[in-house]
Amino acid sequence: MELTLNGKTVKTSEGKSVLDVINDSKTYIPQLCKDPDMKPIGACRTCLVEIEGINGIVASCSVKAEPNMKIWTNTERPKKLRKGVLELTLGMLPKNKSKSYRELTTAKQMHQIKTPQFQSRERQPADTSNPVFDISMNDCILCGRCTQACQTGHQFIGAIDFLGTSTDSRIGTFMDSPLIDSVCTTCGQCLSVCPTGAISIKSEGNSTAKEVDTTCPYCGVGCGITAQVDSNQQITAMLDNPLNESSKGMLCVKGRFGFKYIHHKDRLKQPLIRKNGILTESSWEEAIEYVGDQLSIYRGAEFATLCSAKATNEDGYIQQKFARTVMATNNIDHCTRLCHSPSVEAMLESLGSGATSNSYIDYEEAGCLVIVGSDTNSNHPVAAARMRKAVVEKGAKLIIINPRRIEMCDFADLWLRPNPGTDVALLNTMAKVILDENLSNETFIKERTEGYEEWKNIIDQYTLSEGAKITGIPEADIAQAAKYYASPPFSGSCLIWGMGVTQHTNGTANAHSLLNLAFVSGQLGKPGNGISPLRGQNNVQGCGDAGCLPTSYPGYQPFTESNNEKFKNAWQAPNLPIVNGLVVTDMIEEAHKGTLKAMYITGENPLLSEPNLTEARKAFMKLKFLVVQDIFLHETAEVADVVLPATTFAEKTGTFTNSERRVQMVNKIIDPIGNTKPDWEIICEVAKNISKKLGLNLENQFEYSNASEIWDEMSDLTPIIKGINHQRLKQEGGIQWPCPDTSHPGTRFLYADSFPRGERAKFVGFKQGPPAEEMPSKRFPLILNTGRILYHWHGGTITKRSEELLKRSPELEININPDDGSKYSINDGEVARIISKRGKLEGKIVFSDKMKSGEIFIPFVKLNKFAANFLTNSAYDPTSKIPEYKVCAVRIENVN
Amino acid sequence: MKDNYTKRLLSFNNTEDVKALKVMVQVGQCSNSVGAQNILSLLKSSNISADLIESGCDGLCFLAPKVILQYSDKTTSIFNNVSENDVEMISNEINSPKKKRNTDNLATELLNNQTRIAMAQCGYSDPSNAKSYISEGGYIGLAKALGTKQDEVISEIEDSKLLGRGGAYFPTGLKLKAVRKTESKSKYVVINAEEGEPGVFKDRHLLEGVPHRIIEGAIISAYAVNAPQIIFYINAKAKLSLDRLKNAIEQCYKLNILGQNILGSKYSVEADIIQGAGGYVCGEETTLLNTMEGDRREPRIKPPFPTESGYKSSPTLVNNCETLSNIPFILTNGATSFKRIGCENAYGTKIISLSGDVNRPGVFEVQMGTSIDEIIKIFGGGGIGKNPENAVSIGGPSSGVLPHNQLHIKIMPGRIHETGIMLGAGGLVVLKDKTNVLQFIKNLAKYNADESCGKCTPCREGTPRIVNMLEKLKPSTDTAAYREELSDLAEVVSSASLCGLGQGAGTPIKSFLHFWPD
Repeated sequence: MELTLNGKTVKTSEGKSVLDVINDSKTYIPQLCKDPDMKPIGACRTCLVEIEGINGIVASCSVKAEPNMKIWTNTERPKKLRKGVLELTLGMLPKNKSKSYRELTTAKQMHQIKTPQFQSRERQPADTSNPVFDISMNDCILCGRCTQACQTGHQFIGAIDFLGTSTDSRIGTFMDSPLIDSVCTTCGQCLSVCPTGAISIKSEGNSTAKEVDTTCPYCGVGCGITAQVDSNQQITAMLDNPLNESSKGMLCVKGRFGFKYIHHKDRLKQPLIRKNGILTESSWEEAIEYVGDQLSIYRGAEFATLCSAKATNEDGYIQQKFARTVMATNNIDHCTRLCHSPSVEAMLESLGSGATSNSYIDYEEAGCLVIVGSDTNSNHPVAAARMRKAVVEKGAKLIIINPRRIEMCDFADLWLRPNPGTDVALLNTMAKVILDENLSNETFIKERTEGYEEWKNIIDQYTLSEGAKITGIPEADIAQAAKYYASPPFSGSCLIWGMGVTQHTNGTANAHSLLNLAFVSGQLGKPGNGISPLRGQNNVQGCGDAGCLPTSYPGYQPFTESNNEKFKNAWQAPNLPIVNGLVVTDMIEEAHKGTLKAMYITGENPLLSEPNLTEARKAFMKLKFLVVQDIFLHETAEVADVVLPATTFAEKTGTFTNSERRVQMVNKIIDPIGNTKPDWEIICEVAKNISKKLGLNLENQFEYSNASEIWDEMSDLTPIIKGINHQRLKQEGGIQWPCPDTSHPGTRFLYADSFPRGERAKFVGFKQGPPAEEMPSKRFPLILNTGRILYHWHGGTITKRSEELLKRSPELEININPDDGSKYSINDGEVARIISKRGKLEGKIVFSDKMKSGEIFIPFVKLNKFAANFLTNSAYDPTSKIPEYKVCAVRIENVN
Repeated sequence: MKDNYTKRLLSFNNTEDVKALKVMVQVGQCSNSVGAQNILSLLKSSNISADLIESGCDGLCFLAPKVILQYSDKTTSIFNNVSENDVEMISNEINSPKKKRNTDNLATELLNNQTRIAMAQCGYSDPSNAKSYISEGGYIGLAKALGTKQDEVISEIEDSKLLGRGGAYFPTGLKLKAVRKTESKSKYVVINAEEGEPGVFKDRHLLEGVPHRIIEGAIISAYAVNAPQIIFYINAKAKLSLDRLKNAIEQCYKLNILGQNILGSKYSVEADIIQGAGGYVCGEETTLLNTMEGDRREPRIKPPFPTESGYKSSPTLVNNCETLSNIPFILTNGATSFKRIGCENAYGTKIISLSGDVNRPGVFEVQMGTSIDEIIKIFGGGGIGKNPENAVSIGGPSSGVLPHNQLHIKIMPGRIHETGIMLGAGGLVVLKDKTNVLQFIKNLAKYNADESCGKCTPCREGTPRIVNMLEKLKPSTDTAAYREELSDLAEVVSSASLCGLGQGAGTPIKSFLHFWPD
């Protein structure tokens, strides 16, 4: 449509505001409270314009553009009023300060205001309690952008808000407490939107020389980030990217502030070779030659490789190709074994694909969200924000199933607190309620499932009262949860789960029970419903997609005759191994036995992430040859024979695939630090070296000039990603697989009509087994639960080298219920010792009612020498071989 | 021919056990301050044989506390300014009535000079008894509406040209239409009874005296827009209003005037009460909606208007008590009858809250087009002081002050003077000779500054600056330049602010600068 701006005809589209029209035409108008990516607030009153036919002067942010509207920004009255309002705004700030107030200073200059006529007024003292950024109340113009960003504009956290009225108006927290004591998660969204710089980072970097869009390296949410780099190749800031479909302009504390590890002095910069027992710096040539010599000895069953879910798809693809072709083995695995293998096993059996069926947008559109065993706030903060949006804005029902009182409980309609390890009983009882109350989706069951009767026979053995007894959850709550899930108030229901479901000896049974719930209610294959095992690492989805699995080629293509032929031809490797390889947990056992002799580990630190670390260490020490390729000299690297220095995500190009199957570009921000190289380049060199030594004639299979070439080879062989390429990703942004051809837009949700296994999904019923392998005893009376915390990534190898994050969480904290504190004579804040049959650790006691009495929680980050996995049990789920990280028996002791 | 709904309604009347004598004690929040409740208690404990009724006040505040004896022959005896000492005399009169009635010509005249639509029977009716309201012709408008198509109900109200009585005078029919045409299943009718403005006490009189008329107006509106839920938003300090309304709602449920299939119709509607969050700005409709949802006391930007997206993002009709109290009349008597009242383009009445330096403060419902002078003279009995009616504040802190030579101005919807002075909610405060107009203006400015919610810059920052500048305004500083600066500031606050509070906050200053040039 057409309208007139200051007498000139301009074109615009439906749905834009008058302010949008003004901005699109590059006409200057101040807009102090209007963030480009948030809804108008209408508070600053500086975007005032005159519109013919509308009475008075209006704020252009709040008026919809209409055809033929005549808008004036430069006439006397709006100009005079804007100036008046700006003078009042400037009057809030300290006078005669040469400091730049960014957007406000621009507005001041544009309106030719020299000295504002009003005296500055009294303000509140600055809040400097947060270790990462300050809020200077003196410099705040109360525009409200920060509170909007903290609340309905982005994050739905609500740490800060407007307090007081009139001249006592201020930005503050609940009860006026310091920010650090509030529910603030230091996500920095407020900082990113502040128009005056009143909220500012404590350690500001140099001015920006360039900006690079890329993808966050932390969790599986896959947020878009824009890196700012100074002229010395130092990354100075990470900004959110509003155009990213997965993160919609949000970032969490790790994504925004956790980047200093990239430049940390501990970075490995040169290859290391163990000489006389000591890791000694060497040249690349020497290191590659040595690795080639050694690995040539241990091919086939004696060799195994662990790929990295933190590396790119291209890295993963090269590594599995190297293992299968050069090393002649399918002993390829990655960390998914330790997180979602039960989910994947269950989904493969029942559906035929192990991926999340839906997208984050479905959380926002759902009428009911059930979050099981996932501390989403800590582990997938931005996905959690999108779930909170559904609850706050749309009134979706939120059900939390978790023995811990996680922060999402603040937003929940129902919090079910099962006794640890009783999920199967809970989920089966919910299914029973759905059947009894006639809430099942008969059409879905009849037309799209099989195995219903067998499953129902198991479910019929449960009663609500028995379920309540086993789980410790009130009957009414179980029933209500079942009703909400099967029959949400609007739209569909999403099932979302994390490690609390999988890291149990009955992990696969848990996952199947969840799937059965989705089948019986038909909550699958439509917008606003679906199933989501939230992926923990940035590229754990992609690592599997790229073929870093012992049981299939890239794209989950099994070892069938035709597939074997396809890959033999493509890779020109006539002797591809076609038997299933070892999974991580088996590798450790085989190493113990001495049958596995050499390992090549990329971007993983099993000597921190494996359960029962003391035992795992013994296994690794038995290996004849161990190569670790990583960015820091972590626990596993310390025992390696060769350590190869890799680049971080910041120094290479490639792709990550996030939890919603979205493939996104990783763009190189800076040149490799020191003598580091991208993972794929290193592995190619090793591969060529061995091929040459052994005359395998595979050298040309590892000749690539860039990551895009690798992607093209992979996508050509992998139907689910065939239509995706780097060029498209750069132009269109992330694309969700399946994407069969280059004109396909990608797929938001799966299973609309059929399943990869065929027409029908399969019910697989389980009865509740023993809750856990190790239950409390007289000597070890407490149940230990492990998990992650918001401020640390995983074992903490990178986050404890990111100053801001370490400051926010410097100590290992042991959460115990105050009742247990008095029972075992331990005080809040004291250092105590936790002991299991396998090991012990020390940490600071924090009293918390998040845990029931009798249960304690320790995050598995390693801080001050101690990690939770000293204590955990290596008992595993028989189907998926995942260790039981979530339950083991411990006791607590006073250190004195 | 009576329709089924009316028949059903009138059937409620039959079983009433009417005693020969009704004794009404006018108990309201303000008459309590001069002992009305005490008089009621004393009468209760004295040995009298009569129906003792706790009614609301009739608006003649200067005569409170007031006791009215209504005999079976419909004649009355009226006792004004009753004190404890009079109770015995009244008891005696009740138990053995004298032939001669105790009349009050002044009160009768004051009531007869008014045109009472919203306030009809206020003070003479039992607010705790729905049947009493029905016997006075109440809920007939609702019964009629239920027998009429929803769109026709709206047309009738639209035809009446009724304008919102909360102060903005937006056409009620248009609002109803806007909500009616929305598709949403969940719609709300919200009654704005926040009445936070100083010098206005008419909604309180309606809620205390004739709550059923407001409920009736609300149900008719809800029916017309097809809303299943009514919510009354009551000023948190108006305790008595709350009690009386609560009671009235309970009775409506008992008589099936509220609830499922009301009066046997296909229409179902529920009513609920929310107590206000406190503060002048809560009367602003979007602020009111925010506080209803438990959000901060601050306005929302418009659009979207509440008619599209109001309470819990559903289409919401927000109307003032007084507006709704006109609707039963329109439905019962027709739009044409309504338009016979008032003047050209300003039909109906306005309830004026008269206070300040005046002989007879009170609440008076007068026809639109009545002059300010008439109101003060006829109803208020004139101002007090050596130079009475030196100035009059009209429309509260969002409006301005008129000097004595402007009192010929007639009360009309919207602006009544170019400075922005408006009738608003109908508060009139008479200022006597000695009253320092500047001081009064300062008080209004301070009030606005204190009540500013703090959301938008011009209001939050501008209103305290105005106070500051007014405080510095002395003969020595009173220059043309200073006045211009003050006037510019008032203009910025009025023209740039987000909501009505800020938009009105410049008017007192503008009126002062205009009428008191030196």
